[in-house]
Amino acid sequence: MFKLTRKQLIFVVSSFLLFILFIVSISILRKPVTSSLKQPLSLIAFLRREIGGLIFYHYNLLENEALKKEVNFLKHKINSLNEYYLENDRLKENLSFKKKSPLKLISARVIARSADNWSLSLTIDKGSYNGIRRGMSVITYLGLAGRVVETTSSTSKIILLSDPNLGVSGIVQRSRQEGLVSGTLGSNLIIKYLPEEADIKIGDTIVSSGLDEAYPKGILIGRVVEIGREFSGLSRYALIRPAVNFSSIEEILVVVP
Amino acid sequence: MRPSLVFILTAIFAILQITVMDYFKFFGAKPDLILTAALIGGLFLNLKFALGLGVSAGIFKDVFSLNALGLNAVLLPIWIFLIKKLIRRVAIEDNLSRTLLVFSVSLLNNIISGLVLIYSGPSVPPLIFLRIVILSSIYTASVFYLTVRFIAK
Repeated sequence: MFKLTRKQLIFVVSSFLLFILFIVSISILRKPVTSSLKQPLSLIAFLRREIGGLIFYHYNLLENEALKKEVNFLKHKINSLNEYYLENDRLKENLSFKKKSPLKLISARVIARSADNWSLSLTIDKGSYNGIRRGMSVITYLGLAGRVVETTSSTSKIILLSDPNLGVSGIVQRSRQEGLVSGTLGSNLIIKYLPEEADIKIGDTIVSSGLDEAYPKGILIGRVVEIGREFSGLSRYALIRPAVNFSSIEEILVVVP
Repeated sequence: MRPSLVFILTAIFAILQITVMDYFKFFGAKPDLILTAALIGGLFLNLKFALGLGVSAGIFKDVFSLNALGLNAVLLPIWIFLIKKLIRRVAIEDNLSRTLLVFSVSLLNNIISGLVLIYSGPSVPPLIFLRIVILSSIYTASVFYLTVRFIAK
């Protein structure tokens, strides 16, 4: 049935061998062929893209504008969500501090800051209608922030601890050494009128003493970063890095006595 | 320059001053946008409008400061009045000369405000005093220069 002549057999076998050789050589040839065709193929792809770009120019332009709008919208959304996330964090901390604290507190938001370089104050969105009175102390969950100096029915003005017009009686937590803490208009606070033999070291924690009755006892003020001698030589002073970052306060707690 | 433009600029600067300028503090000093706006009024408006602007800006600044006295409500119209007197005698036409004038006024304004604070009781370390006086004046003059260039466009 499958009787082949010698010639035919040679032809079939050699065709089969050629086929195998062809299959095997494909993988060997692939690299040089591809690399030699790379340039012309790239050129063709480039031309196709450019021609496609020209043909679909208007469509692409509109799509690009729509995508840009979408990107801007998403960026805006991410930013506002980030702001909500940070606000949520701060409010949670305030709330947990308010719950844990034995003090009666009124929370308020900062709506304005001082207009000049020579006073450091805040205006908050709550006033006498909410129970805030002049002289009440103001804290954040990080520590002492200042004192209420003016109230209207719906707003209050707060003088910050970093303002040199405000003085708070503070003590060194470790040695109970007392001094007067006030602002310098700079980034640090100063504790003055420390006697020559005062037991105070760099790194000591300063808290409110509660002696002047305007501020609750034991509220964190800051840490000592530098100790020096007064110009008169009669007493010493220490610079304090405040616990509260006064330039970035957004919510505060007013202590109701 | 149209008075309405200067009044709008003053309102915007006043709002910015009491809301966001604390975030732009440089070594504890921030630019005085309200003074900048008032001095723009002094340079480009007629005396009547400029004085009105100066008094309103000064009152606004005093409301949001802790001064017991209305220091700014007095100082700003005085600066405007003096600038008006000066530009009547000396031609100050280019932006750089105006900026130098604003720097000088800002320096004087800061020195007076600082000294009033010190003489009212609290002590301010001399280096901090100088830092605020100088940096704030430079900052204010720079803002003035940029604002006038922007408006001129």
